[in-house]
Amino acid sequence: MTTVIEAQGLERSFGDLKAVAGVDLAVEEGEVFGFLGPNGAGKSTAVRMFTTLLRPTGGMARVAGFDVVSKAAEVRKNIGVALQDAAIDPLMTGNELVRLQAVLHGIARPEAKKRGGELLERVGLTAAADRRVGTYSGGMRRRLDLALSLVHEPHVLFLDEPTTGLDPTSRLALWEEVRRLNQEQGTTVFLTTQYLEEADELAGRIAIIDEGRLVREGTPAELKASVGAPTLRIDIDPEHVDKAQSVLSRFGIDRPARNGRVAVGLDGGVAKVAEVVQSLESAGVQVLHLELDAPSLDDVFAEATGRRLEGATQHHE
Amino acid sequence: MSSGLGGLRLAGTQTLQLARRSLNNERRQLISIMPGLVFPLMMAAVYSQQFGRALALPGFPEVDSFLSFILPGSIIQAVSFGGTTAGTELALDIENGFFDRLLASPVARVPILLGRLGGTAVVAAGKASFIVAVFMILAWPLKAALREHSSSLLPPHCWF
Repeated sequence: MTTVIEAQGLERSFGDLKAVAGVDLAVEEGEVFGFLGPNGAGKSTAVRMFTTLLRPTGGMARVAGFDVVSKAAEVRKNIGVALQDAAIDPLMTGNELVRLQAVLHGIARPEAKKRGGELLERVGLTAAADRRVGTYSGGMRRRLDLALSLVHEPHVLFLDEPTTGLDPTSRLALWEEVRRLNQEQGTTVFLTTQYLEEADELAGRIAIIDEGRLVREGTPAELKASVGAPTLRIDIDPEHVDKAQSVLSRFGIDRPARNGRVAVGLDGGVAKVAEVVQSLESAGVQVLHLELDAPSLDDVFAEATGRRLEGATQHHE
Repeated sequence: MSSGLGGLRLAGTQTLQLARRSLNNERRQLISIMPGLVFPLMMAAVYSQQFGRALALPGFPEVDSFLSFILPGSIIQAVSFGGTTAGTELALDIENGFFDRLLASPVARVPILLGRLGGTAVVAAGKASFIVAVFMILAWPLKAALREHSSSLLPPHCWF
């Protein structure tokens, strides 16, 4: 196994703000690595450093064996990049963009034409290839963006929030394509996302970043197991929240929950549910609704940061 | 990965393709070059009416007509308008992230800039030629008139 992406003490400050505050990580060849965190956690800043668009203010990073500062040109030859919000010129057509991208990567024109056609077909954009990108839907733009990042068959692919703002169907299609790339071509994928589900679905290994620091790292299974107990969520009258919490604290560790709901990491699992309900009722708290969930990445995130991820239950930006 | 193009030749191709792109974009929003054409021509029309007779003043540069005096100014004005458009386009590229795409690719930094300027330069040349052509057409009846009145007492350049 070779390490394809490596960071040691990687830092980036903007004035007083430390957007990335000392990140250490190593991504091995052929992995899909998920970089999970809420908005403003430092995900994009980290990606911009890995892709040579931003200079680190501390620490070091290597991609494909090359230092991102001193060997930036070498790094650029080896990476494919699809940044947040599909960076695409709306006045150009799909065909023009993919050919231009190929030329930028030093591929001769005739080959660029051929490769461009193949890639557009692969992402299902052949019919729209001669239309201006301004007329594309969000999903089409993302697919085009992915095609563009693949013209030179990169070893390492950086995807910054590839499905933010996409409808569920487009999202599934993109996941499928990323999986295919990884399995068929062995492309190493570094993926940032604010969606737990996406990290869970795609990534073999996940790092959770919050306020510029990695707070957890491991396979999805490891991370979930580290949380341990399943989560019991109970809807109650909002007035009774305090009372309910004091009852629940006897059964396990308190977990964050939205208003009108209490949640606890239930020690002993399903066998304890009846006992919880009885205790609540004898304390005068009526249970309106109840659900028991196996630990999710959301719980991992909540346990690590004390907060819930935006979009953990619904997928909005 | 990359094919056998030589470094310099590759940079040339890249510059050319980027220039082509910026030229295509100008073509696709042709309306944006209109202010740069209309204003210099309008100014020239107004000024030549207003100051045409200034040619008779002692010390005024030796020109055939006020139009040839104002021509370079009009061209400079048209080209500066083009420069503003190019600046806006570049800012848009940076804002919508297209510039990042260029910077994250292995293309050298010089072609990125030259490509952008190349497109603008071609458009500027086109505009300059158009203005020269319009001035020549405007000057046509004037020259004919000058020939007819060559026997007149006034020196010819005072006619316009």
